[in-house]
Amino acid sequence: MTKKAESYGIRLRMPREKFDTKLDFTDDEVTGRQILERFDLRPAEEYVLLAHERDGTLEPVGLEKAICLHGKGPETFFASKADGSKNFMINGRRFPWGDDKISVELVRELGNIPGEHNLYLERHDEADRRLMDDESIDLSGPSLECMYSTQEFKLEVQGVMCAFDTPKVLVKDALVEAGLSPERGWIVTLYHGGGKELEVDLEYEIDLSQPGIEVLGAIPKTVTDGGTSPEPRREFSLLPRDEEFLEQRKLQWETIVEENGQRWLILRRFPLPKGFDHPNTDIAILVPLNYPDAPLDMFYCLPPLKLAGNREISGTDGSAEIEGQKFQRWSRHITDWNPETDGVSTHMTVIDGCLAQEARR
Amino acid sequence: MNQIASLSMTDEQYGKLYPHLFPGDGLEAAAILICRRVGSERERLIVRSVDLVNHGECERASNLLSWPGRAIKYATSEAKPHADTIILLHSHPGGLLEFSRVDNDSSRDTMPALHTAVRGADMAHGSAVMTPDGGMIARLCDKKLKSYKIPRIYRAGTDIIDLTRIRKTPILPFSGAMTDHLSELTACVIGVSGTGSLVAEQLARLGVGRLILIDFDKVEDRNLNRIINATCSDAEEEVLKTHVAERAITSHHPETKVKLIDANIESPDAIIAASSADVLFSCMDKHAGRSIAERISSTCLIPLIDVGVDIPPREKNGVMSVADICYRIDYVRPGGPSLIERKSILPHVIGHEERLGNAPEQAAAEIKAGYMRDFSEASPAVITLNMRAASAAVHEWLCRLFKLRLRGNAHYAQTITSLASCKEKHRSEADFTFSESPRVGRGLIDPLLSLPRYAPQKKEIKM
Repeated sequence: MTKKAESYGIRLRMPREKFDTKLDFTDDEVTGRQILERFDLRPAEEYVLLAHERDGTLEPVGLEKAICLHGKGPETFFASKADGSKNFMINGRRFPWGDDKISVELVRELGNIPGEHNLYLERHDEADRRLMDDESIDLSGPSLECMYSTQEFKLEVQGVMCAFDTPKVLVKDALVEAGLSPERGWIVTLYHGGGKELEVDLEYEIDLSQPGIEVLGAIPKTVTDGGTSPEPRREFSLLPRDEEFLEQRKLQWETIVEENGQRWLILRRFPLPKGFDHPNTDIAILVPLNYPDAPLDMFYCLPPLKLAGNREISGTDGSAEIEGQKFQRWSRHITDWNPETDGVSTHMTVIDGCLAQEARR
Repeated sequence: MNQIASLSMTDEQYGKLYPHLFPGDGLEAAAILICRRVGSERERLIVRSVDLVNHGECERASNLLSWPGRAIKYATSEAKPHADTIILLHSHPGGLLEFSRVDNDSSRDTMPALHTAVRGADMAHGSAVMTPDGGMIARLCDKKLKSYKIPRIYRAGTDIIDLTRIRKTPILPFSGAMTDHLSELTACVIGVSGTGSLVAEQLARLGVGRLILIDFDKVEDRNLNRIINATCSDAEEEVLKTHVAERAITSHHPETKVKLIDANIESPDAIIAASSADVLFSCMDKHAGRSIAERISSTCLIPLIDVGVDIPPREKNGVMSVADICYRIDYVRPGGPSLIERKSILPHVIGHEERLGNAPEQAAAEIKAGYMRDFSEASPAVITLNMRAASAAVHEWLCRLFKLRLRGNAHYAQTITSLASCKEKHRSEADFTFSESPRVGRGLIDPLLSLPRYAPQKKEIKM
């Protein structure tokens, strides 16, 4: 049983009128009317009084309702001059309100939403809207306004503020989010708060769960073999396992779509085993529209290949025109193509095998 | 708000759930279904994956169960990337096929948490109950926690079973009750030509409630020997095959809902429209289109009936004759052996069909050089054969919905009928080598059907 105090401080806030004052009350129990009249809000009937309970809820207080001030009673009240009570929801909790507007600042306070969390207002016929700190929400509409908060992790990348919903972000994903292409070649530096900097590679995982905002800076790498190399063309997609394979083998590859609709995967300057009349060649593979249900078949070389000593290679008498140039056709096939497991990597074993076999002749 | 009309799962998913939910100790057990929405109105829910909640992590009794928070958290992290629907499923070993009061209290706690964690347009999450006889009920609620029962739950397997009706009297086949049942179903016919027009005719006359007909082609004079309901004036006016079928259907079954897709099955609109169906009939001769139908079946959990006809010729001493007159019916269940695994579709033929279409001179050169058979011959155009095949196709579906076969359905994954030898050859799934495909239950997420051709165009490289 707590000792009765001599006086109780009550804070009354009227956000609309920008009224925020504290007064002392000596009685243990007061009615809603007494509170309003003490703060000079008359006639009390014209006001709505809400108690801000210790657990964060708002409770309407009737004019004749007795509030116990000692112990765990409320110390803060909100009042507004209004003739009805509105309601709104924050993260699934319902709050009554007296005004037909409430500021986002106050919503954050009542809903206990930290500054780094974003606040959204649900909409029904369009996307939910993110609420800015200087806004007010209009509660006068017919439907219940519902708001919710989400945590976002922010990272500034090359001057662009990006947001992610997980704290661990790979550098290459951060670059993509900021509109930068990772393949282009960057020297990437991560700046922590407090002046520390760290040079990081594309696979580095940034941890944004530490407080404060990180900054990522990127400087384009210059290619030192006589000017910048042109961007590889990627006009259509391959299977994810194909792209992984090509990256792993560090092949320079492009996917292009010809005017006649044919789609080609081209491996540029593919290194050849010894025994051919060239050290490398461009290898083109036709990728059917229904790949991988339709198989990869054959491959085409430019410059056309001969064995050392000007010897012809069997099964290479056909050709195909790609980008206006004549590629030499090698008729080699995978038997028993399985769309679930076959792809560029398995077709490459055929290509590697053929080239090695011919080179040995 | 679009309500879900049905929930579908595969035999494998059911087979994973049942022994876990009924381990034999008479206590309740739990599992979590991660589900995806497919269909043009997003009205079909399909099970993408099954999480079995460790018995040790729950408090289990014979009439109640406590959900471990960690299992739910794991499920929300799985569901988030594609805004999937989470269904919390538990068993009632006592056999109560209803939600109990304890179940309702539990839902009141868990549903808001799921809605806060996994959001999306029109989001729904729910709960379900299974009983030892395999019966199941499920309900979903929206983010305002307004709930409704999912009307039908399908096990789309060797048999097509509605788990919500396990306790009801079995429907007598070929009775009025069967017609009533079919009127609740949606069938999609892909290819409305020789066999397809006959399949559509039978489905409509049987009383199937909704038909989705997909074909891009128009009627020509040479089709009049086999497309049912096609007339001379249709050929003259170049009417589309789908429109001929619709006209006929509305003349004898005006209440049947008919949706026409005048496009190739390979177009994304056609694929999405087909995903609304409870069964797919593939009546095409090109391997490419059939492989797309097969991918729709596995990604969207829809049983597929693929029908083909062939009249191979024989030549002896310069005289041509008919070697056989045959038709093939493949019943493909999602999770079972695919048409490619059954060698009913050959990948190299898909490639060749494309080359014939795109680069005809190059293809002609390849045919001449012996690299390719000439696939330009159209499928045999014989109505007597098409009718038998079309009837077998629709009958196959009825066999899967109702008990019509004395030996059950397991032996009839593929049936090849030879009219020359008057014999039927049957193969069961065990006759094929097949493996679990990651496509099963993947739904309509990008890239569509897991095919690179439908991947969204690559981002422009900015500098």
